[in-house]
Amino acid sequence: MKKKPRIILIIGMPHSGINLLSRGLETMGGFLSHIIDTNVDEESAMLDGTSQSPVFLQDSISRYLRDPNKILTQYPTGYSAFRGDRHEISELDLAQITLHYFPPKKNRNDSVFHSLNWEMLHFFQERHRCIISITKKEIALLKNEGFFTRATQLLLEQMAHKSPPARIFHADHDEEAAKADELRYVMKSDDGCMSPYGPSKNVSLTQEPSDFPASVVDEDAISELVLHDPLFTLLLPFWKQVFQKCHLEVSIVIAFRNPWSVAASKKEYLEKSFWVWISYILCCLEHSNGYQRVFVDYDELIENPMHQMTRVAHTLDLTLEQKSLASYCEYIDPSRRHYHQALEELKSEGFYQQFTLEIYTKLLEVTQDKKPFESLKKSFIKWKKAFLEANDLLVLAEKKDATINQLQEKITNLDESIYQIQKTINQNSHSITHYKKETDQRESQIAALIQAQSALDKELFQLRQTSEIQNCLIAA
Amino acid sequence: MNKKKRVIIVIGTHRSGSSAFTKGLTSMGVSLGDSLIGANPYNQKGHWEDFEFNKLNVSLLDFLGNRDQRIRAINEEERERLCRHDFFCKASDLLIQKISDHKIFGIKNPNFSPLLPFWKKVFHANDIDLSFVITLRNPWNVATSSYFYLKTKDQEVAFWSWISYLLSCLEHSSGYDRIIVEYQELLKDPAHQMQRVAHALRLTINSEALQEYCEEFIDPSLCHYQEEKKTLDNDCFYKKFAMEIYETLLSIAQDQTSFHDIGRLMHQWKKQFLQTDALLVMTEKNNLKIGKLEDIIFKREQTIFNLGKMVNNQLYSIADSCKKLHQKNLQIAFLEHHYEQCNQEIRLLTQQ
Repeated sequence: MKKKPRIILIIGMPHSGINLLSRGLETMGGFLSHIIDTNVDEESAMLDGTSQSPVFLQDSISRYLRDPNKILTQYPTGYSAFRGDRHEISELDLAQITLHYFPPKKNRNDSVFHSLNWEMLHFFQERHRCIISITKKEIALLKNEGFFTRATQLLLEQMAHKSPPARIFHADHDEEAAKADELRYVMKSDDGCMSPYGPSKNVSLTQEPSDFPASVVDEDAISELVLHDPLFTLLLPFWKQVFQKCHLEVSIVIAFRNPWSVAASKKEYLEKSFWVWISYILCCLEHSNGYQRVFVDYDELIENPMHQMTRVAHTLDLTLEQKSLASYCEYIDPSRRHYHQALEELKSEGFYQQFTLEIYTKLLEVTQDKKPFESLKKSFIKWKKAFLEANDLLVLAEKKDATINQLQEKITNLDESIYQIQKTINQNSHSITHYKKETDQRESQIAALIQAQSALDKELFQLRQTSEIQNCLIAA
Repeated sequence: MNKKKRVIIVIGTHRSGSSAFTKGLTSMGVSLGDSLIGANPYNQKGHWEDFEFNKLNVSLLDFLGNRDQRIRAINEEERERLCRHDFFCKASDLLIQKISDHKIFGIKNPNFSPLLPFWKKVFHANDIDLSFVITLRNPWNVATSSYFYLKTKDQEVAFWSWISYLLSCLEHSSGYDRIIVEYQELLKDPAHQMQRVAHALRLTINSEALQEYCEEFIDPSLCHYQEEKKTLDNDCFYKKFAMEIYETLLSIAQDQTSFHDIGRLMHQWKKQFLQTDALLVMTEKNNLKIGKLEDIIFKREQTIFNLGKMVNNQLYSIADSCKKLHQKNLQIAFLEHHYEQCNQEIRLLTQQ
């Protein structure tokens, strides 16, 4: 039986240890060695929870736009392949967004997917897309805008990167021949979108999808592509369709973290933080249904990485590399985890905290293998109902946050204007004082001249008189 | 014989026809006092609302810090804060002063709805025989009317306020004489509605006054927002929830069911409402914050305007100074020239 290429998605809420998990997946079979290369600062940020969540991204775009040169020089080269005239926002925007959210890293796969994910969420121009899952209607909108084709192409391109093609052929001529070759696997989706990439070829902006050469790879070489980005969580209903179209196997690793710790690491209302946590978890639960999936708790991962990686490897049929696993376990340092509260220490006040605690407790039971995934099915229906009742207020809260940020930015701009006007006023005051001084000087000068003139006039008068007398005498 | 003073409170949401109804109470011998808020574009036939009770309610909500943004009824902790402050005495004094000359006194103010936990304590302390009239209107129409008259921009806030106020009214009027009056039903048949009220609250109707109220006061043309039920799109939870409450309460207003029958539902509604409580608190906080930021922006813009004026004056002053300086320079040049001419003449005359 032919082995299908597989996507392993690591999803979950920001601040839940997604990056740590993706690094942990390096320890499995070596298939990730060229993908994950996160820088140490980012990991530290994840450990102490100081990295920013996507809900703050939109605000920072405008700030980053003020210094584009800095961004361009810092951005890794990976996004250059991601071009196309159907892009709604510029590459610069994408670079800025990605940079701000995830510091520069060599992981080209993740950054281009993150950019596309952000572009899709940005397309709706509503901030609440960053806290709740997209709807069927929105998926249709994304498809109309060509995002589906782009996502398919990007995915195939990245799969081709992962497994370098044995040979490249043009779709119109050699595809059938390639299909007939049982040792090969043709990277081509149902709608004719093929991988646009060969190792020595660049994509032409004028090329149509059907012009792209298809990549053919050895069956044995096909393996997994691991992608981690919290935005996949909200866009999962869309990506599921992309994966299906590309005939890819999908496995999902869901990262989650004690919601009290997540709330402590964020600067927003506690109520909102908890509801957003619920939103992400329910989204993960709902849209990972039917796939091979595993939940990993951040605290469990920090406390016993060996066990968690073994669980993940076992569930996803992956092989652990003991040497890498050992160095990964050494890398994990529980002392750098700033926010942590044990389950028995959690105090739940009000419905939203009780509700969150209920979900968290049940997820922990599944993570600790005390209960099977199926045990969550019944609870999920109840949770989803309760969440839908609060959904609109959560969306409203997100909109209000956006308004507050806009107003705060306006105040900053007004303060800047006031400062500039006050500066002008000071300069003008100096000018006025200067002119006054000059005028006073001129007046003194005029007074002195008048005085001198007066003395001169007297002298002249006397001289004229003397001259007149002399003239009279001469005439006589 | 019951010698207790009687007070009838008209409660409900803003824009639910409570003003139109309250005037009708006068046809049942209920006094509304003599310091009523007059008519304005928001209520063209008058508010029928005591000025001082309204002022006190506004100061109570101001004290709690979120008058305009209030969605939920006050909680126990807030009630105690109001009582610990001198508001309890103020409220008692005002109540005694207002009702002293009247056998039955009617008070209407929508702000009573979120403040009922506090006011009930005040009424209870003063041994008042309390009755409630709850005015009801379709939440869609209240939301539309609130958008135009109260500038409530968010539909979610309008609907959740409606739900919150009504649940507070239902909860805190329980155990007292009470009745629901629906706005459209009132406009359709005011006489019938007044008879219902009189019957439920043990009041006697003055036929002449009622006729005058029905024929001269009630004017259906003043109802500007009346949605057709079929056009309403109850696509989200809060709309469905509000409509469920409305339709149940409408059946009480139409005497098809009773308060007693909805006891279980009420418990369920309250539970559902409490699930969103934290998000409503957050919405109130956010709205309050937005209000404050808008105030700051307004002040900053005023400052910029004034500074701009100052800059303009400075520029005029600079232009004027430049002009003067130029004139002085011309004068100096003229004087120097003249001086030189005189000097030359002196030199000539001296040589001669």
